[in-house]
Amino acid sequence: MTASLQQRVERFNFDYADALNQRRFAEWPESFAADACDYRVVSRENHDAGLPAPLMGCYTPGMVKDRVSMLIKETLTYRQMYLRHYITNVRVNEELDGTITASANLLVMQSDLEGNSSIYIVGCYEDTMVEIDGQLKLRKRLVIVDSFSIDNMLAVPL
Amino acid sequence: MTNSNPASTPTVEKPMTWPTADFSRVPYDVFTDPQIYRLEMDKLFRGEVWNYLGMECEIPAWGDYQTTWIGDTQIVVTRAKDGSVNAFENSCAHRGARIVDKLRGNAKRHTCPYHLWTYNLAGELTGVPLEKGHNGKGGMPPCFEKKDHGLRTLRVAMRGGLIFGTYCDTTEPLEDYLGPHSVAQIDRLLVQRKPKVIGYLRQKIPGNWKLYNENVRDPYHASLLHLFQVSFGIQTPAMQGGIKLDKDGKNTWNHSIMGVNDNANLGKLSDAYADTGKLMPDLEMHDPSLLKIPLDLGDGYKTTLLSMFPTLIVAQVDNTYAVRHLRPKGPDAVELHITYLGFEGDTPEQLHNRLLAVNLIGPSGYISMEDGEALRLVQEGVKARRGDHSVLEMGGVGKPHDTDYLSQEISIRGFWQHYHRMMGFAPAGNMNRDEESA
Repeated sequence: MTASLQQRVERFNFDYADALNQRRFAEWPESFAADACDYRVVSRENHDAGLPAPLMGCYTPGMVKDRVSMLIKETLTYRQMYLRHYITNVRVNEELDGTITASANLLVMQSDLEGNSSIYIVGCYEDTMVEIDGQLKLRKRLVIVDSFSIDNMLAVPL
Repeated sequence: MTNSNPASTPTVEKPMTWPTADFSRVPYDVFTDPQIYRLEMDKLFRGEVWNYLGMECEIPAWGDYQTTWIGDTQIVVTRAKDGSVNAFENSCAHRGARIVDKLRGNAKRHTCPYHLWTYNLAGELTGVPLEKGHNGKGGMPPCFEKKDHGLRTLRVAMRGGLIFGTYCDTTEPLEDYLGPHSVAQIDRLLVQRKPKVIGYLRQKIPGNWKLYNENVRDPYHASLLHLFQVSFGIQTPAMQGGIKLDKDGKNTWNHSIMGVNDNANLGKLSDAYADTGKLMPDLEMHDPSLLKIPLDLGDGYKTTLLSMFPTLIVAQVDNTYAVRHLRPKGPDAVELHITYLGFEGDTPEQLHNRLLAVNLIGPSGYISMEDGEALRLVQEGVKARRGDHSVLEMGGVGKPHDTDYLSQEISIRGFWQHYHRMMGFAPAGNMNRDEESA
């Protein structure tokens, strides 16, 4: 049975989340198109007001790699939390020129080392994807965060 | 069941003390005690201080308003028809309801949603529905005068596009309060070019608001906690720089200056890191464009941190320009509000560079995200240390003074000196050496 585009995008998102949640950070840049990509986390406040500054902004594949290499090399002091992404309401559209646009709701729960859980992030994805060698890759991922008063820090990408 | 075991009898807690006159010891209770927090809201934020309220460029037109916070009190800041700026508490004179429920907007008058009491842009009560009753019945009593029921207003002053407010009639003029270093740096950062907001960032930090004040007056930590900053030469202990204080010690200008020998000096630092294994001078970025943005003021300052009592920081880190404002949320939490700035006339390339450099600051910033974590760890660590004190001796003890070096905590002591005075605590400096060594 051939998977539908809808199913493929959902599976893409689940694999993406698994790499982050299981702290396989080196895999995260592989979700992006290697020739050109754009990853931004923006607050709902700035997005709605048309203010351009993001929370995180990676505008080249190298910058995407740098975001996680700082975590892999342990350059940053940050709180170790167990994170779980819940990605729902996935909607996929294929344009006439072959580009794929997709959106989804995002909930990330966090649990500390003593087992206390809380909501970390509420937001959504707005994506542009391309198919390269039969695999879906992100040309652009915009993460809009409704819960933009960030709980202490945002070290791990969303 | 009663337990007569004397070991379980509650012990009397040691009272809070300030054992040294140079504020090299700070009682941990000031970070945890709810009563001290209440006292701060009344004596400090409503005392002889200028509280930051926003920037003029955020409310340029008649009727523009925004909300902000002084301690835990919400304030509305408005632009009147004549161009003047007013500030008043966001709580109705009638039954106390919040009047303005949006963060910012434009309105020519403000009406409380509950009973539609209406106020002008200066906070004066202009309309009370059914004031005279209906059909000769009801209404307010004859002695009721609208002019007696305005909103609680603040006295406003401005410098370099920054808006400040004070509750107190005796607060000294704003420029005297800020001091010459702050005034000169505000002019350098915010007046020679016209700032505009390019984004807001918010960060909830699970630590006391004064811990953040310590953090920004603490260049000692800057090159130890923030390894990114050291590895890429943004601020290192080998750099030129220092701190300058205002007359009270409350406001600090902390700066580091780019030098030709920075890279060579960085290589000599490994001993200074005392075998921590944390120094990584060989770190490289896949895309180093973030580090190659030229300093756009061209005056060599890598960092400028203006920390102004009690809750304002104007910061330049490389090419980022931001106003940071603290909103205390109880003794053990503070929300950091960051207003990220560009300037009128920025080219598309300059704007792109600012959207790149924002990766250094804020809750996701390669440098600043760690401050929230450090504050969380301090708040957790001091919770149970009632009656005990922190140690601030790096850079020397004695009366706080300016320095031309960065490994120091003297400016933190300056903050405490003024805080102690404002709060009216018993005189500092009765260190009991026996107790200290016990």
